Parts: sequence; structure tokens; C-alpha cells
Amino acid sequence: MSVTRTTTLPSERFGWGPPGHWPDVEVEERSDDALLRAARLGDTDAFAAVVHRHGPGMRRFARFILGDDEDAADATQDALVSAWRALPTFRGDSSLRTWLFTLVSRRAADLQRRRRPVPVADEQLERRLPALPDTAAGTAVAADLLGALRSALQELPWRQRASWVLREVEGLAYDEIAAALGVTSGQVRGYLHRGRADLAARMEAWR
Amino acid sequence: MTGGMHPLDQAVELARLEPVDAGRWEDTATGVMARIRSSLRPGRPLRLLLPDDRGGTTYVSERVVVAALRRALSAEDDLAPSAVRLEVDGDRLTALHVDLVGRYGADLQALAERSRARVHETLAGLPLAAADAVDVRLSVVDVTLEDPRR
Repeated sequence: MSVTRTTTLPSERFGWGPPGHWPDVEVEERSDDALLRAARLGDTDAFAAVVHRHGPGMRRFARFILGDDEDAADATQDALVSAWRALPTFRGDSSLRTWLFTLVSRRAADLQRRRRPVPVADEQLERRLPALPDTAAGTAVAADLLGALRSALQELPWRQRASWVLREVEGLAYDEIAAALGVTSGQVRGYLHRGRADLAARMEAWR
Repeated sequence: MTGGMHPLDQAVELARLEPVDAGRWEDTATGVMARIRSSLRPGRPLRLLLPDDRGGTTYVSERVVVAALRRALSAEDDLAPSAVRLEVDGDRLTALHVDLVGRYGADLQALAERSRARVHETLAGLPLAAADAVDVRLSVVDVTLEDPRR
């Protein structure tokens, strides 16, 4: 496998924006706390700002752990609607962002149970991804590399997968991941250690 | 080859910068807000002061009252409402409990008094029946380092 190494960032190479970017949405400067207070009092515009601020990350997370864009959209939509309904009872024990990841994680787990009854066995972790042919470059290679990561993630056990994406892609702290997944920080460390090792082994074929 | 960078690290970098599909995301966001707006309930009806031209009674929903109060109370610097609870007897508002968050260091007493005046102005301006008789109870339940509206 051959990938051309350049000095530019992926965003420059492929025209990608930062996480959460999309066009034509007015910049909302209010803090999460301010938006939360307004939304609790029925301000749907404030909640729409929450949706646009955190929804893309939630959907990206859901897509990585579910491996399917439509399922990810469903999980994200359900999680955000349930967040609106639960606003009056949200005590703020965790940040708004962590709470939203908690909700989407639960919805994604529900979808996984309903739509994919065959669990991933740990033995599958021994399998390796095949190296892809040396024909693509630039965007196509990036897409293939991301595709390989998505495939590799699907072979990790659920909590390993979710922990890894929340840490490495979404940048949550260990205690935030623990809160989102309902586990301890120590367990998160274990999931991340094993997840990184398994993913690194699978992606080794791309060297 | 992926240069000196491990393929996993490069894939992570790509994943973090992966663009949102604007069209698909807009569908999701629109769907969320449509479901939320269709689930909104007006709340209890509250009688307005003035009869209409034919002598009928006009009501305003509890949700409209809360929205009006939210806007009025958010107009004050260094203060934001965090909860509004209504006590209703039949179709008349009898008491209002408002939780407020103020900025640390602000004159909270003065802010609360101005807020009380804004509440009464808002209720009278709807115009809600027996607005003057509504028992308005304000509580500053939290303070923040920055303007709580921001």
C-alpha cells in the first residue's frame, strides 16, 4: 500500500472544515449554560442552537460506532429529541456536551441491539484488514483510510469502540467518557488501551 | 506507505476533520426541530383582562406567558431566568415563582427589584386578568462569573 505523504493538513488537501462546520448557520455566541437556561424555559431557538452546535459531533460519533449513516442519523435525532424532553430534569451533573453524548450513546446501543443481533466476538479481533491496492491518491486514499478505520472499529467490542471514538475523535476526557458510557474512569483506560492496540494492529497493513 | 505517521494516527486526523455533510445534517436538524415543535403543549389557559368586541373571553396559554417573561427577564444585564413556575386557580394566575441566575459581583438586590417590576409590567401588558394580584416570588438560585445571558 502506498500513500503519498504531503505536508498539508487533511483539511487543506480535501477541502474539509473543522468538526461541526457547515454553511449557512448563524454563529451562536451564547455559552452552553446560557442556551440551556433559555431552552429549559421553552426557547426553541436556543435549543436549535444547541442542536447545531453539538449535533454534528453526536452524529459523527454515532456513525463511527454504528457503522451506518442512516442509523447514526436516527440515533442522533432520537437523542436530541429526548434531550429536549428531559431538559426540566437535567441537573447539570455533567456538561451539556457529555450529557448529549450519553443520550446518543444509549440510543445507538438500542439501535445496535435491535438491528444487529449478531454480537462481535472477541476472536474476530485477531483478523487483519487487507491492504488496499496501490491505485488511489489524495481524496480517494483518505476515504479508503477512513473506511478502513470504520471497518476496524466495527470489530471492536461496543464499549471499546465508543470509548475510543469519544476520546480520539471527539476529544472527551476520561471522566466525561466514563459518565457518557456509565462506566468507571479505570474501565475507560482499559477500553482505550485495548482499543488502541487492536486498531493499530489492524491499520498496520496500511504502512 | 504513510510516511512517518502510523496509519491509525493519520486516520484519526482525517476522522477529526471529516466534514459534516451539510445536506444530510440539515435534514437531521430539521427533523429534530420539527418533532420538538410538534410536541409543544400550550399549557393551561389563562384569562386575559379585556373581553373581546362581542363580550367573549380571551385566553392566553401558559407557554405564551412563560415566553413573555423569559424575554422580559433576559433584557436585564447580568441576570437570566432559569425557571418559571406558575400557580393557577381555575383560569387565573395567582402566583409566580421565578428562579434567577446573576453575575457574581452585580447588585443582586437591585437586579431582583428591577426584575420584579418587569414581571408585573409583562403580566399587565398581556394583559392578564388580576395581574396586580399575582404573588411574584423571585429567588436568585445561582451566580456566574460572566453575564449569565452569555
